Amino acid sequence: MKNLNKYLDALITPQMTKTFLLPASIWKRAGAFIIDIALLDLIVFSPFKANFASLIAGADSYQKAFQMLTASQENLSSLMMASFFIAILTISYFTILEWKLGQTVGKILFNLFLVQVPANQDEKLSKPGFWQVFTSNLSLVPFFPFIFLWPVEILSILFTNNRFMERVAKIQLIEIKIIDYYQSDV
Amino acid sequence: MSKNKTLQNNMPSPKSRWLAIIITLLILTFFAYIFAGITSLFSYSDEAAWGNVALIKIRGIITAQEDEFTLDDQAASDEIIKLIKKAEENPDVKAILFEINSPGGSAVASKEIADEIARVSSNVNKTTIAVIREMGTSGAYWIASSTDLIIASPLSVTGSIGVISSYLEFNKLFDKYGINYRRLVAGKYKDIGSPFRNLTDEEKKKIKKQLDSVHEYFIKEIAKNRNMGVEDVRKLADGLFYLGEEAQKLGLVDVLGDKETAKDILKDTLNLPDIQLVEYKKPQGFIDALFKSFSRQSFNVGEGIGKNLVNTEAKKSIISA
Repeated sequence: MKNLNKYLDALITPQMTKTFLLPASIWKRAGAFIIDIALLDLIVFSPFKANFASLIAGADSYQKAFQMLTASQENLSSLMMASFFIAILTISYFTILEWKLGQTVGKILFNLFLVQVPANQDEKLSKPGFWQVFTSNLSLVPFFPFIFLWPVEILSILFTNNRFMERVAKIQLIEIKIIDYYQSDV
Repeated sequence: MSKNKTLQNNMPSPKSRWLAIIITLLILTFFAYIFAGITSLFSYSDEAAWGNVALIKIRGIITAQEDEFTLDDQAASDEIIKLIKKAEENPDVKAILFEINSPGGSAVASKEIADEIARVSSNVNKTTIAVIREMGTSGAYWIASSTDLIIASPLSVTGSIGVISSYLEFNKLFDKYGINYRRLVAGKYKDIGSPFRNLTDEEKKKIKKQLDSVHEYFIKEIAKNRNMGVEDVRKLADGLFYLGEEAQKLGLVDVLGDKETAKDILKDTLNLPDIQLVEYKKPQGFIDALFKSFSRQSFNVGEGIGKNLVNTEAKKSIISA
């Protein structure tokens, strides 16, 4: 009976935990990014929405809206300027938070961390430096030539589980998985 | 120490982490509104960005080229002509509406704009209409007269068909303070009209003759544009201004009304179901907007200092002197 109780106790109470550091899965990456973009949409993009609305006022289709946006050089300049400012703010969000905390809001929710790629197995993990994070976020710029990085990033994630610019910056997005071990004396 | 513990030791506490996130988001929100405000300086139009009637505003003094250091409205002929050409080239634009609120200005600049409008008016696909708001006198009226139709408010000020070249003469003030004007010229009339010396009767006659020539040219242009007799226009061209209602009776204005009247007329004339105005104006670069903003700030600072320096007591002493 005593041994049975001990066994039952062991089943309910984990005696050991093992922590695994894994490259972040594609779904968690995507989920974290969507959350970050949603947050940016609320904070950064919404002040610019009125400007865009005034440029395409009266448009009843995408084609008409595109025609109106490209109708004049002034409209295009206005659009370019807004895109430039949005890009600066977006990069600032990712860079500042990832540099200071190693995480953004989306990454916190999915338990993802941005770390420097250690030179060897014995080296301790640490947060990346400012320029590493900045370099890795350059693919967010919606202008030439950075726009060519978008398909490269997607292919890189699919095949190597790591973004191309993260590899360039020598950083890695990891997730922490804690698995409970149960040990029995029986 | 395991890698996980090292990483966790490097991470800030949850409380300070969320605090850092909130501060970062607040700063980004602040800058987002500032940048959106800057961008809105270049997002024109309460009007639609696309339309079938071009709106070109002629406001302020009419000049040949823009003076970037002045804060007052200017209608530079270089820029206005560019806008007219742009509207002419757009096949979607069926008419050009000129909204005029100007006291006039340079004769050369006014002629340049008037000639350009007359050229576009001769193109059967583009109707031109002038809408005079508060003021459309002198050179501004010359411009309005070259359009197909002039609309003015009953209380608009228009007319003033004349030429002015007045200036201040400082020679007596200089005499009072012992300042001499050293006249060194090659060419008897080289410094004619100089504010630093007396204008002789002979010089006055010469300048008057030139002003009369310009005036005669002005009269003939108005007569041609308005299909009136030269003598009829000459009778009205004593420099007097007229209110819109009176101007209509004299034949200087066609219709009393405003921009909405113009839209109704265009709807009927051009058989369009809807009139969509699109404003054509000079694109303002970021540096232009920033410079104008600084200029305005500097002006406000100077005005504030000036007001404080000249207090009420000081003003009284100046007036009494």
